[in-house]
Amino acid sequence: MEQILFAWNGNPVAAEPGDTVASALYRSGVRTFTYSYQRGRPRGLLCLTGSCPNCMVNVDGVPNVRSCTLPARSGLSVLAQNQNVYRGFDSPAVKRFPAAPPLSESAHHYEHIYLQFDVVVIGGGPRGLEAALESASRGTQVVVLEKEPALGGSEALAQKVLAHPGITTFLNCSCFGVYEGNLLGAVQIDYSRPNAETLLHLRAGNVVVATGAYETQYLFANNDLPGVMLSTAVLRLIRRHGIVPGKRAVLIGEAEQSAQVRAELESAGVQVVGSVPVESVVNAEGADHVTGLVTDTVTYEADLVVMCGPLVPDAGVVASARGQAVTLVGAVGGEGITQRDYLLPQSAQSADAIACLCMDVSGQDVAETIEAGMGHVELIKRFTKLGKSACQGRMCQTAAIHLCSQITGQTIAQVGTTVARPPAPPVTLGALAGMRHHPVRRTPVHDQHDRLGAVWMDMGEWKRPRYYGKGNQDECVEQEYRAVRERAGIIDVGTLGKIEVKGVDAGRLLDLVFTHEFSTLPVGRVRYCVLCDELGTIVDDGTISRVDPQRYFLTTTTGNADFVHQWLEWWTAAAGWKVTITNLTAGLASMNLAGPLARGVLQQLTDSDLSSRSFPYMDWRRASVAGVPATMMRIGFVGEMGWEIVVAAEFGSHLWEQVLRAGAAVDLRPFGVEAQRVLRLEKKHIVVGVDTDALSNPYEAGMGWVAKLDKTDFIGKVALSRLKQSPLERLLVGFELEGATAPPDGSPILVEGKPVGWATSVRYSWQKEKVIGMAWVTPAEAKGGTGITLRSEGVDYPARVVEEVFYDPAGDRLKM
Amino acid sequence: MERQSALHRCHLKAHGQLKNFFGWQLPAWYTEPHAELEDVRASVGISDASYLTKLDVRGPFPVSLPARLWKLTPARTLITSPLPIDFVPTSSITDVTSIYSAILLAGPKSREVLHKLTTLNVSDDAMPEGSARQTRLAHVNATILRADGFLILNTRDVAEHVWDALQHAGARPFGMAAQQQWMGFTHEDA
Repeated sequence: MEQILFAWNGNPVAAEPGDTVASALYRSGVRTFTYSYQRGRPRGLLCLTGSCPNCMVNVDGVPNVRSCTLPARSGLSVLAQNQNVYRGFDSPAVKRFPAAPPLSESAHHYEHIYLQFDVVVIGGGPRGLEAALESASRGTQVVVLEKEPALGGSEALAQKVLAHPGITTFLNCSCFGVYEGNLLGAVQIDYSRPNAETLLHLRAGNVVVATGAYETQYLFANNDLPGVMLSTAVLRLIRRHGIVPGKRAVLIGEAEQSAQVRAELESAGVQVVGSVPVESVVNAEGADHVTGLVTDTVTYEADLVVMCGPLVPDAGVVASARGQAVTLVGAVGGEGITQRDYLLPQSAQSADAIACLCMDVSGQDVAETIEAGMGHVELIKRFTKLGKSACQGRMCQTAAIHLCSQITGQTIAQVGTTVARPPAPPVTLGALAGMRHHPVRRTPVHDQHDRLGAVWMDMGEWKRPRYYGKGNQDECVEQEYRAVRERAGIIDVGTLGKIEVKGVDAGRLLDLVFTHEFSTLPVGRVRYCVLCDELGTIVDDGTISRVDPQRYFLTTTTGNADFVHQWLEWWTAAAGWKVTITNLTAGLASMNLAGPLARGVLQQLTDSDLSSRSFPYMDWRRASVAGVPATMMRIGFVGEMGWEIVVAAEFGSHLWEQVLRAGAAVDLRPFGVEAQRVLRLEKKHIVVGVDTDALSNPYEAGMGWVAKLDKTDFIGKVALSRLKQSPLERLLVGFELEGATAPPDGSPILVEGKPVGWATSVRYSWQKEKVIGMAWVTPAEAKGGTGITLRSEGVDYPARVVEEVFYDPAGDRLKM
Repeated sequence: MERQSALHRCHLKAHGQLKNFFGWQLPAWYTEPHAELEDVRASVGISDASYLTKLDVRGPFPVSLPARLWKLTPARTLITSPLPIDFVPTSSITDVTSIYSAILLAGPKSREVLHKLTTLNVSDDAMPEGSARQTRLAHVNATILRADGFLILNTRDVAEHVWDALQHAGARPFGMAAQQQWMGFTHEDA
């Protein structure tokens, strides 16, 4: 068999088959595994069952890995941790271990799986396995979760479970919580490769908890010295790993408890020099490792102090179930656990008696906290952080409760316990995050943009070309801009929401939901639409085309497609109207062809007469374009003659190619969102959500004309009627800068040094050869010519308010 | 004009041999049709079934249609057919073929793939042949139909994302040749 070799702080360590990292290190003579988080006290193996924080190490860049549960594997890079936590320059810990590397994007395999079972058994010990077999014999589907790498119980029992067709077993799998509706969270660790964890979401009919019990520590001075260990750890070193844990041992605990441990230690060759009751212990001696144990009568020389600690039911997940019915079997329910008094020696209240190993909370800290008036376990926990870390109170809670009882004179029952919340064992953030399935939405033309060298930007989950080309962004955008203003350009607007509304009540619905009237819109016409909420706030804008007497086609903004769809469905249901609403967004490709030469380009692809006499501004029609069925809208967001062409998604790529081919002669260019932002800003066309916020109403936005208050009723009418009568608090205005550098969007606007608003969009306009923008200001500053100042990073940008539209105010170019 | 599926880019990247199926440009195979079929039979695979005609019907529907019916809600039925469906569009019937991509997830290990991507219970008891479920899959909305395996419908915009997620979860793509074998029918190229 090949030898297992891994690195400990850069030095090679050999491991035997079956070793964990902790056992291999112990075998090689390592005694100090870590330094405590707060006080830098040396810590060695304590429990060896994954219940305490003392063996946590950094493995391949991942911190807080319990070395006692990690099987040794060749190639691991293991570092002691907490060596670089600041705790003063005189701390020994700062100098002893090399610094851990920063967390990196190391190789990882985090997955989630979702499973359903009739019965989930947490804990694969003898009682859990019996319960699993019993359930499975009744034909139910059972799953067993075992945190160790093998099932417990007898070999025969384990084999029977593994062979049962109705039982699924997950090993190395810790359940961390039982949530509402019997949803269990568990993490299975694949130790054969680095950072490989699977988060299980289990829905269970019934939950059986068979987590057993754990051994907890005693509280006395220097109880945290390396070499002071729980009996479980000592027995595991001997039984599982064939390691002689020390030379001379002292046992702490009642004689009947320690008899078995004593026998096993002696047969392993450890000299047991004494066995003492807890209450007689004064302190453990030693600097970096235990050298002896002082009791009130004797001082023992020893390199091993074994605590035969009390067993505590491992009920963390039970408590997390918060009253949901779970079945307890075995020791977790108290079965087989002898109730003994947990005794505190005199030194339990010393500053060196460590109750909470994770947070370095001493018996003295607890006593002082109670003295300060916080005599409740919940208050002690909150004030001292006792029980709030990795071991989740396993090593401290029993001690703290008894200490609290002793000092306050309350009974154990009166003291009570703290509330346990999931996760019971710690869970890595990687496991919670899982695989990186971040949804990405792509338009049907995505591939074409890729080929044209699009520089992508994220708009929610959508990908949109910001601009095309490898050059400087400003130069690329200027070329795209000039193509649209001087020749022709095309932009993919497939991300815009596209919704079909049909049925006898379609017109009524749109009249109710939008501020304009649509029941009177002639078939074949398009109208700008604004959707306000009940407060008169602008929520969305777009276009509505009347396709048939009872069928409309809506476009929405990119981000609001789902919202508008749901809003329409809601009001349809509320009114009980006969309307069918379909979100066509993903099913259609749409692109906007615009520019003074756009007509000539498009005319090559269709027989439909595109002249303004036949196809005027704001008209809609069906036609065959580039050989495929299409609809066209003559609209102009960018301020030039243009058509929005809509085809079935599966023809989108084809249409885009055909338009580019037809436009090649006039040097048509595809343009991205950035050029569009400049083009529309010159027209003062707002972008909802950019130029408006969650409080903007149409009057403030200078779009009061969209509110048709003479209409019978529509959503927001009451609020808008009132707003119309009220004085405006702010206004959206245009401005131009004196200088040629544009401060970023969102820059504050100042007048005489006082803030009066902010700029929503700021861009260089090649038309005006100036920086232009839109801004919210108070009404006093809204008049044309008013001097305002933008400020960004301490630099002032003088500007003046401009009332008129920057480009083609009469809109002649749209109607050419 | 041949139709391109939402997964067109994926097919090109995977060197799919594109041919005409039902008027759509789809990969006949990526590697070799027989091997792809064997792979699906032994393990799990995914195949583009976007060519399926899909109708969204609200309320009562014409029962005479030669197609499969899927009850999505008591008032909503989805109709699918590998062939074009002749129907009269009304205010209650909408052709949603272009809106939804369709991916066939097939093979004995299909459930292992689904377990990684959806909270839905996909056991035989919870989801028998012929049932339809609307759920979340790989963090996006999905309609899953139990037919010849699992037929996963998504809006086209997220089709590539779902295709990638299914592959990440262990499914390998197979072409139309193997798909038609799997489904037990063949079709002359249109």
